Amino acid sequence: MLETFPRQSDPNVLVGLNMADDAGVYLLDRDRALVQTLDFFPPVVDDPFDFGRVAAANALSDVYAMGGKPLTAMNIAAFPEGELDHAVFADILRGGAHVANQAGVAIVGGHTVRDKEIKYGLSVTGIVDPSRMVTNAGARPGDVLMLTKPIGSGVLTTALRAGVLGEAATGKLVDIMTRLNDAASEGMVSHGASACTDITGFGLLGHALELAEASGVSVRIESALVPLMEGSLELARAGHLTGGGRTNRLFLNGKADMPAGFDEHLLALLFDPQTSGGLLIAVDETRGRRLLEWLEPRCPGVSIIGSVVPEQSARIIVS
Amino acid sequence: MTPKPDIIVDTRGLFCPLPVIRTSETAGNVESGSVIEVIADDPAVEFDMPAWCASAGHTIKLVLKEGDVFRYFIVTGHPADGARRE
Repeated sequence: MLETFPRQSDPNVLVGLNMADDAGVYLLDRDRALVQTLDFFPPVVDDPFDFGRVAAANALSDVYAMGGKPLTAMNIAAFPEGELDHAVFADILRGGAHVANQAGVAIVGGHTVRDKEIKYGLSVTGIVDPSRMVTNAGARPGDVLMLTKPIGSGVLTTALRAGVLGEAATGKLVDIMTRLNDAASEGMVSHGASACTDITGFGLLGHALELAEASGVSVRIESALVPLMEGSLELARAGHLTGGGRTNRLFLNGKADMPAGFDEHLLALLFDPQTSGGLLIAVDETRGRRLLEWLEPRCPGVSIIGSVVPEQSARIIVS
Repeated sequence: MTPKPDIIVDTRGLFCPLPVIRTSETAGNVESGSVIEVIADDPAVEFDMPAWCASAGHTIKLVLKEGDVFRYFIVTGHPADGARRE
């Protein structure tokens, strides 16, 4: 759809609509650029405070994925007037404020509309040093790919809606989804990563495809190395799959290469849309070693999951 | 007898799981039934390489350990031979 928009000619737009990156970046002066993003969605968990936290961590992630520091945010919300207790809405906003506070971000305003379905998120403004910004376009053959959170939140939230996810498993899921990508971002910037994107609605393979296309390379994903959320493979096998995962798979048709007979349910997880997923970081192997050591105590589950190779007929090779 | 490798992947100095990743890149570019010799010196390769080979459908024919250096002789399988992940 974005290709139908008029191309922008403002030279200060360093990252714009046509680049399919995580956030827009606008150059202010030699040392500073604005990073702007907006994300909101319907509840993915039942507890309103937790939903607010997840939505805020998810929205902030786009700034972290550019290597930026978020500064301010505005609430964007939809709420069915008269049908639900206002305390629910207040809890959602409190959850968002809690995470914003944790990230050192000031919520400076917002807007709410009436709608049948609850929705909440943030528009986030941050800042980045343009010389240290990490786009999705810098991956180079030889780089390793690192993922900073396990995948499977689409399958787990589907199971939660179906009423089959227990309290302990729900707690772990919320912990992962509310974990900020701040340390992952700080680490990748200080260790000189080549490229980055965060893993959200297009799933691991969809976002890997964006990174590969933007960088003019192909990427290999070693499925055996991809960290999965506890129970996600079993729940995928039990049929708790998302419509978004199927859409992602159709979108990648012909662009991803995988062995015949590949485990269908593992594949479903590789396409599973994530809420507030981790960062997918491309970094050369020497820096990668130091970055992995730095991230291991800060990002539970961080793993090297593949590598960047020269461009081939398939952008994504799963093995 | 040491199998004659079709291709050698020297991963000395690389940390796990990079030996697996570099081996996988090579395995993706050769016919099934090829012999890849992987040279590695990260001790974790002792766990990573057999696990990865099992999941990817490759067979380790021989492992030699000379000091801190491991030499794996791996016969590439058809990817569909890989075990399901549990």
